[in-house]
Amino acid sequence: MPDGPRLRHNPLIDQRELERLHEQCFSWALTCAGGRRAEAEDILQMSYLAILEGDARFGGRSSLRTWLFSVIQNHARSRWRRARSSLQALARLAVLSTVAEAHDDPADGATEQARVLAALRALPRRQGQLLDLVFYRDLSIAEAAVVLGISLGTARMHYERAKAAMRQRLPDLGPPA
Amino acid sequence: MSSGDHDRDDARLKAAVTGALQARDRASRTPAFHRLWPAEGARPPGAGWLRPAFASAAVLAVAAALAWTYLGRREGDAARAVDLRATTELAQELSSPDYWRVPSDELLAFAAPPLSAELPVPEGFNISLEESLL
Repeated sequence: MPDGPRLRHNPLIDQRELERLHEQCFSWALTCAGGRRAEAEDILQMSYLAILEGDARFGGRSSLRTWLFSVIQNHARSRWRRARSSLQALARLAVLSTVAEAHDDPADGATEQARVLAALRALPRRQGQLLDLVFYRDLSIAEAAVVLGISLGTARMHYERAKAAMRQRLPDLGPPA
Repeated sequence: MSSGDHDRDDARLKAAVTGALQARDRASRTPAFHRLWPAEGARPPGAGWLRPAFASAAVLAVAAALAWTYLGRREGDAARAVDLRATTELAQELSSPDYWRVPSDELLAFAAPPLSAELPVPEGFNISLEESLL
């Protein structure tokens, strides 16, 4: 762990270590924001502010990376809830006739990667996040459960369901690279 | 499906998911850490002490209101108690057989309020002495 300046309200966190994990944090924020870059930046900035001011406090019980992911996930979730309630209020007022999901990336691309990404996004939110954490970020299911704030049993169940749903959506997956 | 098939299937799925997410991350360049990391004191000036200041002012206001109510009532009670004590003393002095010998200051200062009520005069009450003797 680099020996850099410690945060005043989070003395167990080394700022250089944060910088080192920044890219992974942004990638995770991107997943939490459903691929929307501007939203991912907002989520990450709010998470950093909470860390800087000690609203989110690292106790050293998990790895720093797992803890950072859970802070980002919490901010994304509260933001998503607010957005959802706003949308519901608008829908009640009949301002919106249809609420379409907006993604920056093509969902119907011809490439396999685009298809996989579309299939991932079509999964229930939690299942998609579990596959992201376990497959892409090499977290154990237990660590992923901590990040998502769910029990290990629930995480295992969602993990298996997510894999089954992905296999169903992508029956013709190529061999591993 | 055998365990080996299952593992191969998982590996394929993992490779596909990893490849797709790597491609997504490559496509969206990570912003610089210092662009997202808030500087110390990033909040507007004064925002840090504004909340405690409001809380302190509210607490002070409540304390002042309580003190005013409580002390005001206490003073009123004390004033009433003094009045009551003076009145009791006065009544005792007036009811003693030799009240006229040692009058207290209160007694000297005592002045009965003027009688403002009209005494009733029944109809036909004014009769002459001769009539009354008859």
